Amino acid sequence: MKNYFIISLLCMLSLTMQAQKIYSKNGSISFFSKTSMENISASSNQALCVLDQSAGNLQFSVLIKSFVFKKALMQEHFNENYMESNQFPKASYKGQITDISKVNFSKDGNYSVATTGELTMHGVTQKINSPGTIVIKAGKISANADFSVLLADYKITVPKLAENNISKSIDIKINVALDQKM
Amino acid sequence: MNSNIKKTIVFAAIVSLLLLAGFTYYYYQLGPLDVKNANGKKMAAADLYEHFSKDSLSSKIAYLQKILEVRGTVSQVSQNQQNEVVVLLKTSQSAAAINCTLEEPIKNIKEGDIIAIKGICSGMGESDRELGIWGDVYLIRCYIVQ
Repeated sequence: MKNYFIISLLCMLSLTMQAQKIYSKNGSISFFSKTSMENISASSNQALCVLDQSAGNLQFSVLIKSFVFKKALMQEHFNENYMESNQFPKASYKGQITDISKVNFSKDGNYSVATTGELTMHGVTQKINSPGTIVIKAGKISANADFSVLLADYKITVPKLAENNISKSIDIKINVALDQKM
Repeated sequence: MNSNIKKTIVFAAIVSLLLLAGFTYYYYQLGPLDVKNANGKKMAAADLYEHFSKDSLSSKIAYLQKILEVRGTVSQVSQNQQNEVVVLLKTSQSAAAINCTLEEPIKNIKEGDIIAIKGICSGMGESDRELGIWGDVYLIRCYIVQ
């Protein structure tokens, strides 16, 4: 009898823990490069994002080839020359919302949070600290974050001819509706 | 050198430069692939998923950045943060789908419908077996095939 009770308790605990993880396979990641010569932007709506609501662990993964540009040539150069997407097909992030405890997932609101983690792209991993926002609206949870990365930090080199057209610092926007539960 | 020959050479050089500049400008301004009016390789959703899950290398060579026309049963219709319609097509793995982001709004497509969708394959997403997440195979810039 006692064993049944413990097993039931463990099962319930495991279900509760699983329910605390939410995810999306269609998160949006956009990036922008602004120079006096040209503005370049691209976006992907195919990012996987997983958030552990209790521990604050946060994970992203996106296929480089899912980024769409307005111009075909830019997309080709992005994949072949800069990101080398055949060799490095994904960019990923593993981190944590350090102050997840201040988010009340059962109450509507915009919660400003701090994140810290590691971003891997083009085969290079760098530490990223960024503020973000968790938005709760009518029970739906979404996560937003804006931050910048330096191309040089990820060993992405721009040829001299295109130096004036591509910014050395790229702004990244993340916007994910975490609508799937585990 | 005869002045007429000189003039011809200069004229030819200018025309060549103008042509080169025009071609470069045209090529630079070229928009993304016209998926709507292109023909895609026809295949079943289950077969596409099977190929990616069994042999990622050869499936990448065969399908990445190519236009595919995938037929399957709709398992979910939703909207992403950009208000684009996302249609999932069933595969042999219940937790994985062919994940299609549409370019145009659609009506009257619901779970259980059998449809064909044309789009560019961008590969198989990340799986996390510990969390029970299976990677979808993504099609982007999709259109419903009528």
